[in-house]
Amino acid sequence: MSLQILEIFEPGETPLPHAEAPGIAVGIDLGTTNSLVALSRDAKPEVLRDAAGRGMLPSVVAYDAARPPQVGEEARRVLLDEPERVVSSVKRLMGRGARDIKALAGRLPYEIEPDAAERMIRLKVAGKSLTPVEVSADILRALKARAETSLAREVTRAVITVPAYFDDAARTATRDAARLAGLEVLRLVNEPTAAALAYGLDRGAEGLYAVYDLGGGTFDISVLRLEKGVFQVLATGGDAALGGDDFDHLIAQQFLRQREEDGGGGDLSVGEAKQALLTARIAKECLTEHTDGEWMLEVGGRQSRHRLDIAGFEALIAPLVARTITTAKAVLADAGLAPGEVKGVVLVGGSTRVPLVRREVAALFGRAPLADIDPDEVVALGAALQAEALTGGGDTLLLDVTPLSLGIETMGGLVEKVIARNTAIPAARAQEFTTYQDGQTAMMIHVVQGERELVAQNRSLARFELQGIPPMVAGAARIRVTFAVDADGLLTVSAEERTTGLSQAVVVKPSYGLDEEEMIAMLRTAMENAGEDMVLRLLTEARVEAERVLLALDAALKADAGLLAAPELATIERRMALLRQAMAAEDRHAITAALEALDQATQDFAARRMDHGIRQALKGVALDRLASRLEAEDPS
Amino acid sequence: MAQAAMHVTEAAAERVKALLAKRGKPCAGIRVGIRTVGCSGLSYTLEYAEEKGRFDEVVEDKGVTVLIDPKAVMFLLGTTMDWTEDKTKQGFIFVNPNEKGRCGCGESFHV
Amino acid sequence: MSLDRVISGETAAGQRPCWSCQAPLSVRAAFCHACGRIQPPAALDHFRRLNLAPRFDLPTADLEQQYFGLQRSLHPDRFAGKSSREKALSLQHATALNEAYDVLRQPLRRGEYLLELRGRPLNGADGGTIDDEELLTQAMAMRERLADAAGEAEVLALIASAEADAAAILAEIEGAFAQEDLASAARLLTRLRYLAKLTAEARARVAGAGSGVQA
Repeated sequence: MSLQILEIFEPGETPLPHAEAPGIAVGIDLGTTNSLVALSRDAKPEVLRDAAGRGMLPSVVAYDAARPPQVGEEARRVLLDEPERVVSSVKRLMGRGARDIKALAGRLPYEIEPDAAERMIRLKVAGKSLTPVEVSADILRALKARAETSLAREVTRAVITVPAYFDDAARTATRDAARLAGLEVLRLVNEPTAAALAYGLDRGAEGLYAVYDLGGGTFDISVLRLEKGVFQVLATGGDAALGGDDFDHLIAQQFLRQREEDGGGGDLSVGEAKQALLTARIAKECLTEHTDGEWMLEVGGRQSRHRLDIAGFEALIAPLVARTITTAKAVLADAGLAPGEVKGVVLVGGSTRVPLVRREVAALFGRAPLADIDPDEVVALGAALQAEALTGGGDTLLLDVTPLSLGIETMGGLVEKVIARNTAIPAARAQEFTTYQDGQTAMMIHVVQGERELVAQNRSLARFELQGIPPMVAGAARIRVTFAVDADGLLTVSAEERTTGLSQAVVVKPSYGLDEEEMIAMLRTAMENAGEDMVLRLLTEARVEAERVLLALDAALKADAGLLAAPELATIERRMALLRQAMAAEDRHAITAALEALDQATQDFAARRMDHGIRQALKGVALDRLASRLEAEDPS
Repeated sequence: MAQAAMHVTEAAAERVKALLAKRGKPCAGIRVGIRTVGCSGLSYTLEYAEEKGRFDEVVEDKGVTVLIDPKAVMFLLGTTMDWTEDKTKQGFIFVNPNEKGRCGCGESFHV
Repeated sequence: MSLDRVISGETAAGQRPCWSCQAPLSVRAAFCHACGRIQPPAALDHFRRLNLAPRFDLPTADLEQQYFGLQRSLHPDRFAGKSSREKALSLQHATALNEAYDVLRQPLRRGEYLLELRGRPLNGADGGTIDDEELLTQAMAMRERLADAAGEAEVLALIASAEADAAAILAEIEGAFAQEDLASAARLLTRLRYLAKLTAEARARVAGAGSGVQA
C-alpha cells in the first residue's frame, strides 16, 4: 500500500478504481405507536414520506382473512369500527410471553392463543394466528415499500433502532421481523444513541449529554459523552414496559372506575377495551394543550361521560413519571455523574410532549431540555445517519453498552453475573464453574438477564445442557462459560470443559423467540407473497388507497357539504371523477397523480371539518364518534 | 499529541505548493483520506481541501497543510509523504519508516 | 521498553502470513499492509493492545486517544459491508479493545492488572487474609458509620470522605509504582479496593432509598 502513487484530485473527484454503485441503507425507527423510515445522504438525513407527505406510519396493522394486511393510517381507521381485527402497540409484545401483557379491567386488548407460558405469544386476529414478529414484519414491509416508492429503487438493508433497555429476546425478535420483511439488518442501534447521533452531528454538541426517551411503550435514559465524532454511552437504563400507553391505560381505568361507581359496570369486549384505550389516548393528547375536557365511553351499548382536567391527569401519571426520574438518577449514578454535570438533556419520543414530563426532567437536570429536533423524528434521523456511516463509511464512532447484566443460574436459584450492565459492547467474558456431584456428566446452563439476585426475578433467556463431562469427583471439572455480546447487543454463549477440551457453542435462542422451523415456515410464506408481481401489487395498493379516499370523501360530503362553497364543491367532484377514471386504467402513477390532485382540492375542506369537529367535541360530543367523523366515516 | 502524525519531504512540499498555486483557488490544504476498494483492500486518496473537516487531524510541515481524515490517521502515523518521479510515472507516495520487513500497519500506530 | 517486550511475550521473529493474501506480517499488525484486510488480534496485554507503556500514572487523555483511535479503525461498524470473516475479526478486535480500556480506565483495576503483569497478583477480592491492621480498623469503623447512618445526608458525607481517602491513596500508589515498590502498591491497592466496595454499598443505599419513594 505504501508504494501506491497518488495524484491530488479536486474534492470528491477521486476516481473509483471499481465503479461499484454504493448500496444504500435506510434507518428505521420501529416504534410502539408510530414508525418512520429515513435516509441520509452526505450526512443529511431525511424522513421518507408517503404521497400525502406523512412521515409517521402508525404502527397499527389491520388483518383481514381475504386481503393482505393494511398498515398505518388505514389500519387506524379500521380500529374505530372493527377493533377486533386490528393490532396496535405490538412492540410491547416483542420477545414477550403471555404473562407480560397488561389487562384493562381484566380484559386484554388482544385475543391471545392459550399456549404454554414459556413461549412467544400468539395473537388471534381475523382468523389468523400471528406472532408479534410477524406483525412487526408487516410494519417493516410497509416502511420498506414506502422507502422504495420514495426513492424509486430497491431497499434491502437497514439500521433498525430498538429501545436501549430491550433485552436479548426483544432484540432477537426485532431482527427476525426484519428478516421476514426482507430486510438485512446492518445494525440494531439503541434509540437514545441514535437520537444523540442526530443531535451531535446536527448541533455540533460536545460534552456530556443525557437522552430521555419516553415513547409509546418504552422508556430509556442514556448518558453519553460526545467528543470529536465519538458517541460513547457511559450508562443506560430504562423500562421496556413503560410509556405513553401506560398513561392511556391509567386514564381508561379511571373512566371505567367512574362508570362502575355510577352503576355502569359490565365486562368489556376486546374491541371495547381497545376503544377505551383509544379514547383515553385522545384525552391525553388533548390535555397536552388544553386544561380540561370531557370524553365519552360506550360499553355494552351504554354510554357514559367522563371529565378530566390537567391536574387530575397529572395526579394519575405522577407515579410513572417519578419512576422515570428515579431511573434517570440511578443511571447518572452508574455513570458517576451528578445531574449538574450534564451539559444538555435531549427529549425523544412523543410522550415527552406531556408537560409534567418536561417539568420533571427540567427539575432533575436543572436546565430546560432540548427538543429542537422533532422528538418523533430524531431517532429515525439518527438511524439513517448510522446506516449511511455503515454503508458509505463515516467518521463517527458509536460505542454503546449492555443495558442489563447477563448471568447464569448457580446453586440455590442465585444469579452469578458474567457481564455487568453498562459494559461497552462488543464484550466477552468467561467464568469458570464446576460440578457439584461426584460423577456428574452433564450440566444445565441457564442464562438470565437482569439486575436481581434471584433467578426468578430476572428474565430467563435460554437453557442448554453441556453434556459429556467426564465423570470426576465433585468440584474437579472446570467448565468455562463464555458470554459474548456483539455490536447489536445480541448474546452468544459457549461452554467448554477445560480438562478435556469438550466444547459447545450455543447461539442463545431466547425462550420467547421463534425456533428455526417456525422462522423457516414464515420466511417461505413471505417469499411466496413477495413472488407476486410487484407492479401488480403496487397497482392494487394504489387502487385500494384511492377507493378508500373516495368512500371517505363521499361520506364526508354527505355530512358536511354545507361547509363548502359551490365552486369548491364542483372542483372536488370533478377531481373525484378523474380519479375514478384513472382507477379503471392500469397506470399506478396516473392514480397517484389524480389522488394527489384530489387531496389538494380537499385540504381546506378537511381543515374546516376539523375545526367544526373540535368545537363540537369541546361542547361534549362523544369523541369516539367525533374521531370517526374526522376520519370521514359515515356516523349513521 | 506533541509529535506530528506525519511528515512531508521538501520535494513533496514543493510539489504541493506548486499544484496549489496552479489551482488558484483558496484552499485549506490537501486532505489525505482512505478508501476501501472492492477487491484490493485499502487505498489512500489525495484531494484539495476547501475547508477543514470537523475531525480532521491537521499537520503543518514545510509550509504545507495536510489534513488527515480521521479514518486514515491510524494508517499514516509516523509516515512521510514524499514525491517520486521517474521516466514513466510521477506522484506522491507515503513512506513508512516504521515498516520493519514489511510488517504492517499495526506496527506503525505509535503516538 | 525491553521490559514491555518481556511482559507481552513478543519475539522479534513474530511473523505470520496474512490470511487473505499470504503476505508476511508482524503478529501485531492489525491490518495487512499488502491487501489492507483486517488481521486477527494478537495476544497482547492490555497496555500493548492500546500501544501504551505499562504504567500506573496513565493520563486519561492518552488512554482515550489510543482507545478511540483504534476503535475508529477496528470497530464492527467499519466492517458492516465486509465478508463475515472480516466482520468476525473486527468483532474480536473491538471486544479486546473494550476489555483493555475497561481495565485500564479504572485506577483500581489498572493497579491490580499492573501487579498481575509484574507477577505479584493481589489476592482474590474476598479470599486471602488481610494483615493490614490499619485497614482492618478503618474498614470496620467505616462499616459501622454506614450501618448507623440515619439519613441520606450522612451517607453522602460518608461517601465524600471515602472518596477523599481514595484520592489520597491513589497519589500514594502512583509513588509506589514509580519507585517499583510493589509491596506498598499491593497494600495500598487492597485499601483502595475496600474503599471502593464501601462506596458502592453506600451508593446502593442512597439509590435504594430513592426508589423507595414511590414504591
